[in-house]
Formats: sequence, structure tokens, C-alpha cells
Amino acid sequence: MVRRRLTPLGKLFAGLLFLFYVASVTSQSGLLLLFIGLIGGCYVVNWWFATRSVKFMRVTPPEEVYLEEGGTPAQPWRFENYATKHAEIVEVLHEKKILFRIPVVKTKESVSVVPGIVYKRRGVYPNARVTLTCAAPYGLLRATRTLQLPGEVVVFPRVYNLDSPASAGTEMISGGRFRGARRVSNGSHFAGVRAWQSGDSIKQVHWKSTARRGDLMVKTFEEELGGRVSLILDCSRANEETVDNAVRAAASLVSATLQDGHHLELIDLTEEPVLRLAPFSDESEVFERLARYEVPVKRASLNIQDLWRRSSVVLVSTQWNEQWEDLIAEARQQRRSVHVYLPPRAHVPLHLDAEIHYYLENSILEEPTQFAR
Amino acid sequence: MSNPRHLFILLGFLAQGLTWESYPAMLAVGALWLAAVTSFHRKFKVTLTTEAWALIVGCVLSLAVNRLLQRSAHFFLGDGLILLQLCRLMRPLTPREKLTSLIIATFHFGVLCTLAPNIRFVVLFTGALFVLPGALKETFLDSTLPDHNARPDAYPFRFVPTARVALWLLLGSGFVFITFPRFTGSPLQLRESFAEHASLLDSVLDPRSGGSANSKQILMQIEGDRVGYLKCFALTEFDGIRWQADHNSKLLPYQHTLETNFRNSSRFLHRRVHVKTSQYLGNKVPVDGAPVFMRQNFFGRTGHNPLTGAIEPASMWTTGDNVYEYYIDTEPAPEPLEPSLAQRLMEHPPQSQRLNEWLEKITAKGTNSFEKALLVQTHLRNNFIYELGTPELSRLSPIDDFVFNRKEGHCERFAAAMALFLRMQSIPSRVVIGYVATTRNLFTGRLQVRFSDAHSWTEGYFPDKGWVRLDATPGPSADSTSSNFKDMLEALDFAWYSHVVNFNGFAQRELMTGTANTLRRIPPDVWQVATWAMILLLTTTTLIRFGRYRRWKWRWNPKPSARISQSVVRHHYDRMLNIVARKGLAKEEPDTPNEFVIKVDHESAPLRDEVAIVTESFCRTFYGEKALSKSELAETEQALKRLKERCSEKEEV
Repeated sequence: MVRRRLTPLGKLFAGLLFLFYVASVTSQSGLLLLFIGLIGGCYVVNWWFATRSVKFMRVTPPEEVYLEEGGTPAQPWRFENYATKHAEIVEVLHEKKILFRIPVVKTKESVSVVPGIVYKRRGVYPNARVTLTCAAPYGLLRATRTLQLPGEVVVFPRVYNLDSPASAGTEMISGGRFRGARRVSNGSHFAGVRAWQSGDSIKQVHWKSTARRGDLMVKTFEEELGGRVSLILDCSRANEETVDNAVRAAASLVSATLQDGHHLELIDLTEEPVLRLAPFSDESEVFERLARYEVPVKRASLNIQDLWRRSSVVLVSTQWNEQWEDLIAEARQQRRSVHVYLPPRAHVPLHLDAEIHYYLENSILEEPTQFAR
Repeated sequence: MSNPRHLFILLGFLAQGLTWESYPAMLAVGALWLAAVTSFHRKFKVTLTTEAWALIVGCVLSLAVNRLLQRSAHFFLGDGLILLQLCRLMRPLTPREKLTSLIIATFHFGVLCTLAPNIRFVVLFTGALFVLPGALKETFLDSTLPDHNARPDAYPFRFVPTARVALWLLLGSGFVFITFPRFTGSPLQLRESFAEHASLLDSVLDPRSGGSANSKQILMQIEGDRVGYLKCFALTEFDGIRWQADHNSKLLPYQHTLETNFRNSSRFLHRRVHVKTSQYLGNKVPVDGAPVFMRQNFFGRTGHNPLTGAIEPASMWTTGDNVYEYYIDTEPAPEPLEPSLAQRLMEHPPQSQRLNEWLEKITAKGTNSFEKALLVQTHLRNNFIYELGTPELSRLSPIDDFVFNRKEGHCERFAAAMALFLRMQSIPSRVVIGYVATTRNLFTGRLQVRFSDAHSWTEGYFPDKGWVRLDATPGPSADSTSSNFKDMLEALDFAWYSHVVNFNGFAQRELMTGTANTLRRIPPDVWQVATWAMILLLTTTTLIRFGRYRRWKWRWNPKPSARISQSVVRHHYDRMLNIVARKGLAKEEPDTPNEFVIKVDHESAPLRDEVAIVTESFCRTFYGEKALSKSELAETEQALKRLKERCSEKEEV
């Protein structure tokens, strides 16, 4: 359905027409009405042209676009004008932001345009919210059509470099970044050779050493370990910017954790199920979850039993919540390491037995002591 | 210079120039505009302060010049805005400033609509019809695409509307003009306007001292033959120095009879008078005799003033086409004059001995009052000179000064002197003001009455003859310059005034009522037939339009869209598969289209080419998303046809 609305210019001229109409009352001749009719005719032409331009424009967007904050989509949109007349100055808006401004689409022609918009905030921008508007040729009124297009633009939170938090529940992981004391029969870091024992595979035999020593020798590797991290995201009662910073910190922690070869579970206290990822998993799933993250109206409760039995606890929040004190205390009793990530100048109790970090927009503060507790 | 906004500003300048009522002023503002957009453009640094000063200086200059010329200074702000606009034409503007300039030009143009209801309006409005939409578009483009480099080079934006759009705009203007409710023409407003213009004719009595006496502007046109002196009103009160009208006399109602009594009778002459604007009449109805029947559309019931002999309506207004028609009796019976009125019309202050002697000498040969009156008239005509703009007469004894010293003057002096001379001989008399039309429009055949045709003469009452017209003015020369072209322009101008400028609330109601009455008079049977005819016409038109639309969709361009091609070629490919499947060449699901072509080549080589053509079209369109041209589509259909024939041949074998 096409909606029409007067533009500011249209409202201005409408006021002018009203003044002229009042003036025509006092004028003996009604010729001013002819001039009013001329300007009114421009409104009608504008109405007709703008309506046709948006009504007969077929728009085909890319179905799924994934970006990081600050990115610009590379996939083109296609516009096909199937009206019998050309269309001018057609704009595509997404929540009042201009995605495209197409000067001209001739009749029966199609153009492909890449949006020049920079998505600065994480989130999901469904194409269904995209509107096509046109105020040509006179800019007196604007015709708008909501397109109800399929697809969406998913903007992931920006990820910055940081060290992964300390993990717990260490176990052998192929490719794990941490080395154990034991020697194992496979891995990527060669540790040495030892004598063959019953049960060793023939593939493990180190033939050069065997030839030199005269006995069967097998290769040993350094043990590769990975831990478990339980990341809890709690963004209740905070402004938009702080929530975004928290989500960016969480995404960066997720990325660092998975790349260091740890298991990760993400608990965002929403109604969504807990997301559990193996080391080196594709991050896009968790990033999409964080892109879609919205502060829950009703925060879900969390007990220490809901977490992995052996994992470090990483809490990313927008402000200190006293309810966390019990959880942290229980975690510490179970000898789990606890890291708390908060925005700068957040109030934290002095006796808290946890490692406190402060996140900014694009980084974690190197020297958190400047925000003394 | 060809910028539509600049052109609209020029129209605004010309419109404002019209307020000076002089073509040189219009030319001057036009020349200033030209200089600003060509020679001086970006030559000077114009700041906002300069513009503010220009506005102030413009206003002050306008006020000063108007005061100097003793003209109305109502439009000083418009004059000041012209200087502001000139400054803005000389420098690049922001989109907001461009919009402001456009609005100022719109205001200037609005002034035109109220001030120039003639051919100049038509010319400038036609210009605005093409220029204003372009100016609006240019302003809109500058605000949305300020970077001209961002505009596509291959597509020049069209600023002048097409003839079709211009026609729609014109129709829209006409629609608003006809249908929009207006308040002009209400009785309340009419009373006010008459108070202001009650005696427009007064000014013509002293032509050179201002007024419209020398104006060639037409105020009415008359259809009829042998049109004589058109009497408007009379001056009856004389105080020794000047003649004045009486405003207190009661009107006598007219006894009208049926028109059929006078129609087609040689004794009664018919006149139809078209009045340009009723305000020109000053609530008096000009007639050239004693009307016996009158019909009109812009004034109410008329009455007869027994003192002045004028016809005065109870109320008068302006409508779309101000017309009144009447019959006059060529052989009227002498009308009686009440003794009291006769006495009043003979009153005059005592005159000088010298004047009395002179009058006696002039009228010595007359045997009765009528002859004496004719003798005075003849003497004045033969021995005095008609002259406009003569110096004022002595205030102490103007008649003596006129008769014995000056012996020249305009019609009012002669009429006033003649009336006094009649009264001095005890003949009731009055000074009559009216018009004497002399030119006839060659284009319409109507007698044209202009402001310059205003005249003054005398009426004397003789018991046996009634009121007799006596014109002592020594024959003013008639302006007989006329041409077809001039007459045509004047006829057009008059029609424009009658039907457009005067189209007010009354005319609007008349039009609506007339249309409604016309529709009401149509018999029900005709309505029924017309309704069915409309339904039939609508259905036929819809069907034709729909058929054209379908055909148009099918023909749509040499390059149809890939989507349409896909559906068509998919259909052809399925048909091809069905045809070859009957020959046992079924396409297995895992086979790609090209693999199927190879399979056909192996198993039935003669069909390969046709299958390959259809498959190629299918792959190009379906996977490549390329639209097929008409020739390619035809080739595919031909291949399909051949394939079908070959398969049929095999069956026959």
C-alpha cells in the first residue's frame, strides 16, 4: 500500500496557498484562484508521479547479508521499473536512514545498486522494514511504500583482540593452545621418542631412531589441552551504548576463547537456550546470537548448577548486581576462577573474590586499577 | 539564464513591475534581472548584510518615489524584495536560500493575480504554467542531489513540463477556479464597494485633473441600433458656483410589462448592454431613453428618480457576465412634472445684470421657451470652443467668466451654463452625466462605451414636449481609429473580463444552479439511456484497455525480462522432454540438461540439434538468468516444432 504525506516543502506551500486563498477573498477578481490551482496542480502531478514511481518499482534485495559493525554490505540490490514512465529520485529507507538514492530508473530498465550505508550498530535489520519513497518531481509530497521484502542484514558486534580468560576443567583437545606435562602418541608438537610399548600403533614408529638404536622407537607429542569457559552475559538496566559495549566485549571474549581451544558455553539470561560450542567452532553462530541479543524484559535466574561442572566463570555485565555475589562465592568454593567484565566506574564490592576487568568501546582496559574499587 | 527558478523570478519581477502601471518600469526590472544573471553573476561579493541593506534601501526608495509621484505605496515591500532577489541572483545560493527566493517570486506573482486582470495576466500566467513546475523541480533536485556530478550524465532532468502535464495543470487551475468557494460577490461586500466607488463618473467631469476620462478602457458594450445618449444621473442642485446631485429623492417603482408587448415592434428599440464591471456604473443604470421593459442579471429591482430621471437599482453586484437589456420607446408621450419638482428645478441664485442682458439678447428672437432654449444651444455651439484642460473659472462668478472671458471649456461647463440659462428663463432643467458611444467593434458588432466617451449635457422640461435633451457642447471630435486586430483584442479582453475576472460567488452559484437545472430538465428516459450508454462505454473501454495491456505485456520491449523468459522457456523445455520421452528418451533425475543432450546424441542423433537448441535456451535463461530476445524465443519454438514433426515422422515410418 502506498502512503502519501506532505513534505516540509509541501506544508510550506500549502500554507502559502491558504494565504493566497484568504487574499482571494478580499480581491475582486478570482484570478488568484487560478494561481492556487496551478500550484495545486503541481501537488496532483507530484502525487501521481511519486505514487507511480514507488508502486511500479520491483526491488530485489540480497536475502542474507552478514556484516561486522562499521561494515558496508557488498551485495547489490536490484531495482526494476516496470511502469510505462521513468522514475526519478527514488529513495530506499531503513528506519529513516537512506540506504539508496537512485536518480533515475528508466522505464523497463533495471539497475543494481550497492547500498552505501555504514551499519554502525550491531543488530538485525530485516528487509521487511525497508520502505521505498519518492517525492519527485517537485518535492511537495512523498509517496512511501513498505516493501515487505524477504531477508535481513545481520550486523555482528565488532570483535577486538584480547586474551582469553583463564579456563578450568582442562582436558585434551587436539590443537589446544595449552601444553600438559604428559606425552601423548599424537599431536602437533613433537616432544621426543621412547621405546615401543605394547599397544602402540605401528604408525607411531620413528624409523630413523629405530634404525639408529636398533630397537623400535615411537614418537611422542606434547599434550594439547583446552579448558572450559562459562560466559554469562547480563545486560539488564543499562543504556544502549553500554549494552553494545558489553556485547562487543562478550563477542571478543568468545572469539578469543574459541581460538585458544577452549569449550565455551554462553548464557545470556534470555529465553534462548544455552549455546555450547566446541573449541575452534565457527563463531558465526554465537555472533549471530549476540547480534540479535536484546536486553530481556524478565531476566532468567541462574544457579551454579546450571553451568558446566568444571569451568571458569566469566561474567560480562553492564553494572554490578548484588545477586552475583552468591554465584561468585559458590564458584570460588568450587575453585573456579571468576572474571567479571564491567563498564568503567562501575561500583563493585571491595571484598569480591574475583578478577575485575573494565571494558571500553573497543578494548579492555590494560590497567584496571585506575578505577579503584 | 535558462534556469527555471531564475525565469520564475523574472516573472515575479514583471508582475511586481506591473504595480507601477508602466511598461518602462517592467522593462527596467527585466533588464536588471538580465544583468544580474549574466554580466554581474558572481562578479561581486554579496553578503547577507548586503542583502538586508538592499531590502531596506529598496523599500525606502519605493516609498520615496511613490510619494514623489503621488502614487499608492502599498507595494513598497515588493519593490524592496526585488532588490533582495537581484542580490541573490548574483551569488550561488544554498538550497534553503533558493527556496526563499522561489517563495518571494511566488508572492510577487500573487500580486499580479490581484492587480492585472487583463491580457498581461494571461501572458505571464502562461509563462508560469511552464516555469513554476520547473522551478519547483530544480529546488527539489538541489536539496536532494546537491552534487551535480552525482546526477546521471546520460539522463538530463526535464524541467519544463510536457504539454500533457501543462494541460493537466491548466485544467487543474480551471477546476479550482470554477469550483472553489469564494466570498466575492456577497451583498455585504457589494455595499462596501459601492460606498467606495459611488461616483466614479464624478471624476470625468474635470478630465485633466485626473480620473479616467481619457482612458480608452471599455466599460460596456451595447448591442442595438440607433443608440443615443446614455444617461446615468443628473445634477439638479445649483448653488451659484457648482452643480450637485441630490441623494435624498425617493425612487418611483417602474411599471414593467411583458416583453412580448415590445418585441418585433419598430416603435420600440431593443438594447442589450454587457458591462465589464458593475463598479464602473456607480449604482446607476445607463439608458438612452425611457425604458419600458428591463431585464438584468447583476442588479435588483430598479426605480425611477423623478428629479434626475436616472434609473437606480436597489442593489448591484458583479457576476460572471453582467448583462441588462431593455426596450425604449421611440415615440414617448410627454411625461408630467410635478409643480413642486418643476419649481425646484428652476431654482438658481440671482445672476449678474450683464448676464441677464446677454441672455435676453441671445433669446430675443425666440417666440416660446423651446425656441429660446434652442437659440441658446445654437449660440453656445457656434461661438464657443470645446477645449480640455482649460484653466479654472473664477470662483466668484464662474458663469460670467465663462460667457464673457474664456468662452471655452469641456462639456460640463457647457451643460452647466446651458442648464442655468434655461432656469433663468423659468425652464426646469438639469445637468445630465452619461456617455455618448461613438465606436462600434468590428469584430463583435457591439457599440463600445469607453471612459473617454463620458459626456455631460442638459435636459430641459417643456410641458408640451416633456424632457428634451439639449447639448450645447460644440461637437467634440470622436475617436474613430479602429482596426480589426484592435477590435478583436478588445473583444477578447471584454470577454475575459466578463467571464473570468468577474467570475465571483454570484457567477459561481449561477453556473452551478444553471447546470443543475439543465440536468434536471433532462427526461428520465434520456437519463436511463445515457446510463446504459455510459456502462457500455466503460465496459468496452476497459476491455480494450485490458486487451492492449495484455498485448503490450507480450510485446514488451525487444528485451523481455529474465523472469518472463524463464517461465516461457521452462514450459518449452518440459514440452521437449515430453516429446522425446514418448520416444523412450526419458531424462533421469540425476542427469543435468547437458548430460541429457549427450544421451540423446548417443541414442537418437537426428533429434540432437533441436534438443540442444531448447536445452541451451533453457540453461541460459534458467541458470544464467538471461532474458531471451524475440528472435531467440522464436528459434526455440521453431526447434520444438521441428522436434515434434520429426518424432511424428518416425512414428509414421
